[in-house]
Amino acid sequence: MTNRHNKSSQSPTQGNQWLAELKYGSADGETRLSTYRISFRFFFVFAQATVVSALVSHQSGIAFVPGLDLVALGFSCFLTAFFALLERSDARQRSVASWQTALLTEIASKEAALQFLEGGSPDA
Amino acid sequence: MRDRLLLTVHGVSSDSRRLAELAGRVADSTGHVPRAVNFGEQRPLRTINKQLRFLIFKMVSLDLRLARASSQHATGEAPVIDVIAHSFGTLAVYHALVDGGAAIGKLVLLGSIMDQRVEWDSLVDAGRVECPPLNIVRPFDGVVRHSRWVTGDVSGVRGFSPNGTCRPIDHFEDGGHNDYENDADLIARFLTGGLTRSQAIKEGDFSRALGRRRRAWLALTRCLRFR
Repeated sequence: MTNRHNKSSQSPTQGNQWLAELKYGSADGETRLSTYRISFRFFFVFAQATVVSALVSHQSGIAFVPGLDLVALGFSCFLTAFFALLERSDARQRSVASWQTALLTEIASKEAALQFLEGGSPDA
Repeated sequence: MRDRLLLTVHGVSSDSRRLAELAGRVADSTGHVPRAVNFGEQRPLRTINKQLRFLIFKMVSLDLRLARASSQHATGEAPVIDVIAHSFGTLAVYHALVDGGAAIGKLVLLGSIMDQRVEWDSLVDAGRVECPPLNIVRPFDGVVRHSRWVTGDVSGVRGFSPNGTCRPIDHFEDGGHNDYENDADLIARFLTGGLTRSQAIKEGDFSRALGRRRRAWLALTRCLRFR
């Protein structure tokens, strides 16, 4: 009771840090996790558990429904691959977006410098 | 005193520092001041994104104009700006000349993905570039050969097609996409006016110097039209 009280009173935000990171990304605030990235993390854990249980079931010969372990194995592999691809696509989009942001920032500063030097419009 | 700048424009996935080093070696013998345009490096397929391509083209044209304006502001005279462009940088320079209002002096193209049918006459007449540009062509450059899938008939594989009175100097040599370390002397000779069209290695001479197997492979890959 005391421990639990101390834990929650020490830092009210720390208890939800993992969930906050999962939802909103790291502390730098640059990477906000999208819905399917969260789903990917859950499904990855689920898939690993399914693979292990399917393998154990297959090796031990205990199966309530014949062939179900192989179906579960295939399904979990499919889910893992599917969400891994989504994750990769998301990472690529974020990379392109950050590149675009960097280019836009630099273009704005160069346009300002050019305007100062030429004394006119940068699009002239 | 009129500045002589040597700007390098790198490709998408190429190492901009290596190109800047090449420019440094060229500048040692020509007296240019080397400068690098840097728009970041990424995987080549990301340039399929149209907005990203537009931003890169805009950035390169701004860099070229800024180099001219800053030098003119400092010395009071318009500088001579020669450019070495590599890979995607060649396309960026082309757009800077055509759409971005940039004007340069001599132009050196390495692993060019510019179209073979560029109308150099209109660019030269508008004072955007000096004639003739130097196009260093590597027929075995895999990156440029595969870029034909996206950009069409590029000048980095067979050189520019004769079109108008200004004909670029196509210099054929062996090597891959990023093997431009040994081109410093050639580029320096071109920039100082010591390289004539007759001294450049032509396509026929290059093909004859190859072994039988490589010549056959080159002929075969030329027959295969992917587009």
